[in-house]
Amino acid sequence: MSIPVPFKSKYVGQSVKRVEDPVLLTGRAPHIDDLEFPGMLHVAFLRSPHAHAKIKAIDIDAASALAGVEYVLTGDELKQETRPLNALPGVAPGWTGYAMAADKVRYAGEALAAVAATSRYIAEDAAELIQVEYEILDAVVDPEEASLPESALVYEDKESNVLFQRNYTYGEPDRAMKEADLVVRENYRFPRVSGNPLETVGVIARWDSIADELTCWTNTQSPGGSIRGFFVNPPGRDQITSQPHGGSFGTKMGALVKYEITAALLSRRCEGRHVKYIEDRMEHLLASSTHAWDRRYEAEFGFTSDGQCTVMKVRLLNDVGSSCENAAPSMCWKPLVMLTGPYKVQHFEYDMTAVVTNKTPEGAYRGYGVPPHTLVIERLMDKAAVALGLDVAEIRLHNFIQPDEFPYKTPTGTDYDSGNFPAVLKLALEKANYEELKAEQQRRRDEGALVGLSVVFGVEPGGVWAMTGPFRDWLGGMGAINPESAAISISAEGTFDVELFYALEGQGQPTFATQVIADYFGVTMESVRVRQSDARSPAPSMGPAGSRQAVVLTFALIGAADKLAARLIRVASNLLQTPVDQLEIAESSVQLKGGQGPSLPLGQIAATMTFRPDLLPDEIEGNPQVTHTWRASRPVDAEGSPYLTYANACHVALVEVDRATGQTSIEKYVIADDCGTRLNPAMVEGQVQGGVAQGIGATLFEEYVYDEYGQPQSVTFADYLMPTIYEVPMTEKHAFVTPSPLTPLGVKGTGEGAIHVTPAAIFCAINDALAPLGVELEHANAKPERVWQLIQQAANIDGNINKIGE
Amino acid sequence: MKPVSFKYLKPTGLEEATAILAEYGAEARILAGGQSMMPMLNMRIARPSVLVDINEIVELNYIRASDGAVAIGAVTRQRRLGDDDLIAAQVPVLATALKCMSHPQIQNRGTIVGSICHGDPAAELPAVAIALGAEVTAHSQAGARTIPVADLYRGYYRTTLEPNELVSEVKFPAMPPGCGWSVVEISRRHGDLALAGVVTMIVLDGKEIGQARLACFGLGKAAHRLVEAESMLTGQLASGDLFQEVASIVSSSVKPMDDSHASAEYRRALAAELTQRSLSEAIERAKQGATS
Repeated sequence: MSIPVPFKSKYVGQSVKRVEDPVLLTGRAPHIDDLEFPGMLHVAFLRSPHAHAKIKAIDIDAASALAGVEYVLTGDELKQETRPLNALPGVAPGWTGYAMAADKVRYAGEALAAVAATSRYIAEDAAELIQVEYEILDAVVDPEEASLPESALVYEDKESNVLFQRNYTYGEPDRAMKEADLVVRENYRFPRVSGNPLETVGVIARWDSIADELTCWTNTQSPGGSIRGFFVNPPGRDQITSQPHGGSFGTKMGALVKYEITAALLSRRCEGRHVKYIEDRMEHLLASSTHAWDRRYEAEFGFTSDGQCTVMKVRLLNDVGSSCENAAPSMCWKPLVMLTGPYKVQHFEYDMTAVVTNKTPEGAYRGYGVPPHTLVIERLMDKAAVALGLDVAEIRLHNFIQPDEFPYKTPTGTDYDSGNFPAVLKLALEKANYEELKAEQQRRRDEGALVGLSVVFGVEPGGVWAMTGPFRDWLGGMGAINPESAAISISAEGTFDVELFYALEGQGQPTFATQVIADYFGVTMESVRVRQSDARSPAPSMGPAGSRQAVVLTFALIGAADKLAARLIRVASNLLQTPVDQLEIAESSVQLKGGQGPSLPLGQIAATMTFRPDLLPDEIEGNPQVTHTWRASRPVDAEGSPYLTYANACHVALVEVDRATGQTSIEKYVIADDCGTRLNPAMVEGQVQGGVAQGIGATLFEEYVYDEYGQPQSVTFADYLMPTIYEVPMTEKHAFVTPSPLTPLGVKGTGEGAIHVTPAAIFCAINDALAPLGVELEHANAKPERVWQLIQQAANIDGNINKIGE
Repeated sequence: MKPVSFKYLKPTGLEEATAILAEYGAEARILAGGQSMMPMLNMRIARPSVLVDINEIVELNYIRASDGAVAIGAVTRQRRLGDDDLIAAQVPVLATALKCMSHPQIQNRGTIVGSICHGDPAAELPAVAIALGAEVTAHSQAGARTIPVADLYRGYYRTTLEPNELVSEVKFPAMPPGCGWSVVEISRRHGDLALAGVVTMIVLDGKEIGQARLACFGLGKAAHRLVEAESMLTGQLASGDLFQEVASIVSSSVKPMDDSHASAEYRRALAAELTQRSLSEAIERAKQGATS
């Protein structure tokens, strides 16, 4: 497959080694906890042991008196100085607390005081000395009970715990359901999970009142930005920098803000000393405010007798935890941009309700709400296939949007850019030897084994470029456009410096940017250096989010390269006395088109700008650096998709469930994936394998469990089970390439696709394994005991427990 | 996740260590491999005022033959169970147990004696030690005493050791010739502490089971022997029916606890399944041993 690039590609499309890895792998990247400043103070938080309680009194005297303690900041004091955390602007103002709890605590683990001391040890000693008198309130734990009128209120000034309710109806779903030959329905639950990067969040704040400036060194995934607005008496200016960090997955966006605010205020209280807070792993699991997708679904799909899906109804109940401080309940909206998945369905009802409870607030997580939605769609497609006697691959092929129907407008008005779903599915089946797998499954089933096979498909909205279309609702109808910038300069030696907004957190932005720029100018990768933009740079950027960087940075890079090339050619045209339109850039030089005649090395042209500006044409700016800001070519009030590209993938999984223990083992896992042009195939495969691991985590291991009092039961890695290399098979990955017609190199965002599809693949395979028993798993986390209970149920239905298990 | 302030002492000999323990008693805690102690310190679950690091007591780093047993010193790392010839020859069940235990990074630090003294109810080594009839030697300034591991535990994470005592070694009796063994467990992930586990050792007497030793872990407040199962098996012909009967006795006699990973009911079901698996595997090994 050739790559639609405007230059000779030597590096683009190759699995070149990542340029940022030597620094990361040798431990030389300055992570946030590596930074030391003279006189720096360290923060420990006092966190609530109760899920829901009034703070009657708080006594900090003993803590303040401890040697080494510089300041103890209570939630009450913080409340005087700051404004509440951000809410969902258009939907739910007022459903957040402050950076620390004042008056009352709304989840176990919520911070209500912060100690700044000369060491973290002393700070933790002091936090233990703070005396709090609580009045314990009834905890709101179950999301269904939370919406009942008799429930305790998480926010007393609200009428109920219902954060929002929305109903989106497209077509005529009621009529279509009535007319359907077959209706399949089921209720599903998705477990409360979260991203767990190697490195937790951290911040060092310095509020220099003399310079009237606040600086926060952080490991945020969104460099730039500002927290000035949160302060009643704000600093004159502030900047938030992003250190290289050990992964993010969404956890290093909103959740950092409350720590930035608290550390900043402590710094101001301590005469501008640096104040460091590093979240520990227990705090991350307990209170990072990044839990996600605690969801319940009621879903109902209608089909014709030949297997055409005509209508989908999905009712969602989302437990957002105690606050919408990270705007994360907006994850309920994201499925609207891919509501029918890869299928042609005209009638849809999407009904969503979000409630607050006394649990850790929800935060962004890779996938942003799509994985549970994909799971619901894919499982009901399987149920319909079984009911109609169709193969699970067949029913999907029957319902796919066809290759000649792109760009495809979905019922919600979003546009899928390109794809060839049947070819991707067929590639997966072929590579998995699907027919043989089916035969093997039958053979082993006959021998009594519980073997399940799944073929699932997902589309991945990527390259988020504008908060338009369905996203305008949660923004209060306002919408937004999300530009991205790149700066390139060339030295007299002919080397290139590239500045981009990204956070060094693993996706490989420096590498693909190096590949693109090296190829564009025909230089070696060693001649290109990529740097993170200064947080104070005014060039607009959104940073990493929504699987956007390969898409939007490519736009920005090519745009900047075009500008720089034009400038270099114009200068060369003067020097060579040759018209601009006869010149081109190739192999690190400006040359006559076709390669004949004189040429000028690019470095020499840059040197001319620096040392001999007298030789430049009058109208040329003699600066060997350009900046380009790319922006979406659409109005802010546009309908259509907030996402530019739609990658897609088919996963085939073979699992066996142990009858005696309920444990699932994954025996085969094959993926065919179409994310358009692959700038660096190895990096794409890394994204896929990591997403698979997180998907396997959610369906087999990870789950934040709360007891009936709202007490978290999963606050260490002994209880919140991350899958390890032993639990995650190395999947077989196969590429299919349908370039996006909308992006300069045909790339599509691909950071989230695998976590979209994997939970469905595992869940459907387990349910297929259980099918001979006549039982069905409704909870997407197939922890062994849950599955074992179902097997027991089946045995009881059978009336002969001993027969099963023999 | 920082420990409370403590005094850190690093004795280089056994006598020095027992002198420290005599001085500080219950205020002191012993640090060996630190695989349980360090998290407990960091989570402030353990709050000793004195931490006695015994890692520099090099005289306690050994695996050696001792009167028909294999003696292992208090700072010997778990990893050695997998690569030591004496263990492979005389107590191979320990090498099998290591395969269920944790990950290499933990095995490289964690000690065998430390795991036995910590007494996690779901850990493998205490159960293996009990099944083998192992003993520990506890030292204090008053002298040394030996305690069968079967008598070491008196409840959830509680032992019969005195605060002034340091366990210097564990002695595993050599397994009898022809002994078949098995260590099986169910854990959520590879290397996790077990939801349930069973250790079996069987010696055949002709076709009958001459001797059976069983112990379980993850199925009560501490690892313990399954005496009733042992007596049901002894003198009997091995058969699927017998194993099923034994499994059902084991399942109803253990007293597992509920937690967020598994209910007691589920653990009982696992106990039955694991007992059957363990007996079958041990018998297979015993038969091979008898013919080789």
